[in-house]
Amino acid sequence: MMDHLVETNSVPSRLVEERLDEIRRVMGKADDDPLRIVGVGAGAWGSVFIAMLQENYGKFRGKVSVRIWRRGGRAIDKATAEHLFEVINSREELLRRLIRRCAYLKYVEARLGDRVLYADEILKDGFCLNMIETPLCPLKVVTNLQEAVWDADIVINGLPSTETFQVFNEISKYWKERVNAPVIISLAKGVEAEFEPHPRIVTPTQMIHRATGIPLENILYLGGPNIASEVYNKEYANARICGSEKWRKPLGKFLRQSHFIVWDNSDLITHEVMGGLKNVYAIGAGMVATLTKESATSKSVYFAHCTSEMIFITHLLAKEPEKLAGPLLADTYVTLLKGRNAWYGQKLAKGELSLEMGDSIKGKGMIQGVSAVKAFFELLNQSSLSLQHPEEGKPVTPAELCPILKMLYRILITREFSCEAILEALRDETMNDPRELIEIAHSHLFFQPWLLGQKP
Amino acid sequence: MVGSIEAKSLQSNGSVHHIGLNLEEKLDEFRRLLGKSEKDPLRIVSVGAGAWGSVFAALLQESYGGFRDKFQIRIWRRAGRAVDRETAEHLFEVINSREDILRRLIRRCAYLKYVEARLGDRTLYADEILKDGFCLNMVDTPLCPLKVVTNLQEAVWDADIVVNGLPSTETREVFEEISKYWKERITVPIIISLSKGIETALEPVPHIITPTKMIHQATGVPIDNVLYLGGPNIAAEIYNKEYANARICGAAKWRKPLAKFLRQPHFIVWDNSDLVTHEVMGGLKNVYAIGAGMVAALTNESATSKSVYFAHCTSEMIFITHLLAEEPEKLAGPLLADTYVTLLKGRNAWYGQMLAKGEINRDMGDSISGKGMIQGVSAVGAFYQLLSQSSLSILPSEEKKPVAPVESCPILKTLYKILITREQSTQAILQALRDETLNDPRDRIEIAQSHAFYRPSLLGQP
Repeated sequence: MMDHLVETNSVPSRLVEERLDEIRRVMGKADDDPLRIVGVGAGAWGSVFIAMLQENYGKFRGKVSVRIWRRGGRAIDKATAEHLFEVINSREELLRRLIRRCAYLKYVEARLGDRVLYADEILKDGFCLNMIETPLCPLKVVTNLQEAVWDADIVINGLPSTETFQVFNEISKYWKERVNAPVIISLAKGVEAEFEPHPRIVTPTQMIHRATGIPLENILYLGGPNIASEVYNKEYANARICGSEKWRKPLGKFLRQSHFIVWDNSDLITHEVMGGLKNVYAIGAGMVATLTKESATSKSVYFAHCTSEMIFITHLLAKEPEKLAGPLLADTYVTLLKGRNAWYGQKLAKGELSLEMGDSIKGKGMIQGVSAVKAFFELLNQSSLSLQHPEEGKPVTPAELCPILKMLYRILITREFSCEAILEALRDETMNDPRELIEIAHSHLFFQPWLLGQKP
Repeated sequence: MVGSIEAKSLQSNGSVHHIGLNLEEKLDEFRRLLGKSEKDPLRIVSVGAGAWGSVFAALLQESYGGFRDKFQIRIWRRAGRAVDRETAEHLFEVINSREDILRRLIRRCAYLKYVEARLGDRTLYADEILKDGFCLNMVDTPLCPLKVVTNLQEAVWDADIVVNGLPSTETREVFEEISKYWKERITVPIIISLSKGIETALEPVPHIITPTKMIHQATGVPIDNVLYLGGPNIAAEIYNKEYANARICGAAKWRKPLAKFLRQPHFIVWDNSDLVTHEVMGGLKNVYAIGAGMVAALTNESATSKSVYFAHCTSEMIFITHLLAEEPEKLAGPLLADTYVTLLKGRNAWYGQMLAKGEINRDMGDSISGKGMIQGVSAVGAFYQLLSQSSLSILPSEEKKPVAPVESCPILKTLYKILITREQSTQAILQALRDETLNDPRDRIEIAQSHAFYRPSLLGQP
């Protein structure tokens, strides 16, 4: 931790202030008007993101204000309170900080079972319920949504995709009379599917656009690392901000830190959808890892097949999708290696979790991959999307060419198979060489523009 | 262990008839293609007894060895390689912990020499333990007994198929010797190379020499009969029936029948015409595997840092393949899977980890006891040397002056400085990764795909 402090101090304060001043200029902030940044939703990545901004810019008090919204009322169970107490007491600097802020004794009371703690109050002290092991800096926490967002300049969407539309729909009421349009950065990785008037995917940025009326130009997606605690602990990470040129470059610069590089990219669609798609295959990767006792050889077979399916799917969704290489590949790699979706797949395969427990897990948060399996499979299984089978010559839905996706649907959604079936799917000798699926993707012109709601 | 042995044997018994029938049909079909007459067995020789070469031979022996008049496989390795005391002790532990192995050795009257070696009263040699199924690079994974030949002429003179299991650094030398014994052959053998290293030559123009090319040059066997088998590199896992995919690359005449012949329920072999990309990539990924091991060790297995490394090294690999091939196969699907597993596990990644932890140093050389040849080290030198030639200069997207391709490959450059010139420590790999001036890896890919700077001369093509 001392190393981290030294490292942080080594970043020239002047440079940080310059970046802040620049984004303020771009946003037209007057001298006495702070730049107001609000995180909406307090999952691991949303909390870390806000904490990093607070640590980086929070000392320039007259120029920036960072806060985070989460719902009130979420009680912390006794086991978690006991664990939290252990974390606090094992970390001297943390213990000192809480004592100094007169915020320590409530944790003693909770440990003894004499008091119930709530997620929003512990978050003020830097404890995210999904990431107890990694204490953050203290944060300004607001539980009233109107109070949180009404005058925000930048809103960070840290909600699961399943809650994004509903919350931003509520936010739109508070923004009815706004003069200037805020900028919204979405971290959400889930997707949904709808089928009328045409089958298509709805991404979180589209949900936000529909709910609020904010022009898409002001809505960006930030994709990349998903091991939030590692990013907070200053592990070197790359991320990518995708969206309109007007905002993505200045924001990329503003968000960048010495250990957190942010590149900008115009391809909002591929990155946001791929962000959801990789979580689908991460669950399967976790299952394979457990069922084969971490066999690297079996993992490589799985990787070959799932990446070729991902490539195939992106070619349905985008006319010239970014190649699955570079940053997208790195995201896929880390998502399959580690991360809560892969963790979830492992636990299911070990029998330590069951599907009946739902896809929101205590201590981990929302497992977005489950709803994404449903969304992608149901979309790609629409007969109106049929294409010619490469060998058999008859029409098939795209889902038929994605055996892993199909099997994950049957394990996780219809639940007609157990986790072992993922290995059966992988070992099916009739399964095509994954390279063939990639060739189909590259050679056939079957891009379907309305799958992402674009006008042809 | 006893339980799993039971399960395995039950499974085998249940399906042996079906499997046997298919196997004999496959063998007969392949023999027909090669024009083997009734009393003439198909002779396969594996040259070199590293982990993968040994496993490959063992898999074939287990599949087809029962058809004694139709099929014969042997493996060549040099004689005289002594097994050190420590390894002998470990080998003794492995034997005694496995009831099936112990029984087998006792039954074959081959056990007591291991007791003597354990006690230090006898020196064992690599070729004699290999007869009992112990590969020196893979002592923890006993194989089936193998026919081992230490005389090269005796091994290869009448072979129908030769499997090259040598490191690339020995391939030319050994196949030049083999060519003497093949001077008067009437039939042309088929050669399958498993080797993943490469060499660089700078005259008449800078170019890469792949193992299949070395074999073709050394023996005169037409390139149509020389194929590359790429894919899994965790040999012990393949032998233990982990499900794996591999790819045989080369001319259409042989690659399809060979793929069928080599395929097993747990070992799927696909065929591919792109010999160049696969063979070169097989060598290139070992370069970056060493760096991956370093990153893993230096960051305590940080998945986030691994992903950053992966983004950069794959974009460099893509950039390099676009120099070497006109329309290289996309780094996706099987090639990607190979890269994934090579970076995750395997001896090159292991070597990088050990260097970073200080448990190994570069002065120990790139052939490590118990692990075999670390091909990535010589490959770093080869690729760096090739790509730093000024005659290959290109115009990067932003700057105005031409630079050698290696300037767009900061990881390769850093690995060269760590492993070859040794002017930097392993920490430099993290410095290179954390350099804020480092380009977005996507930029490198865009350069590769948008600029027509393919250099046919790099692979010796006109």
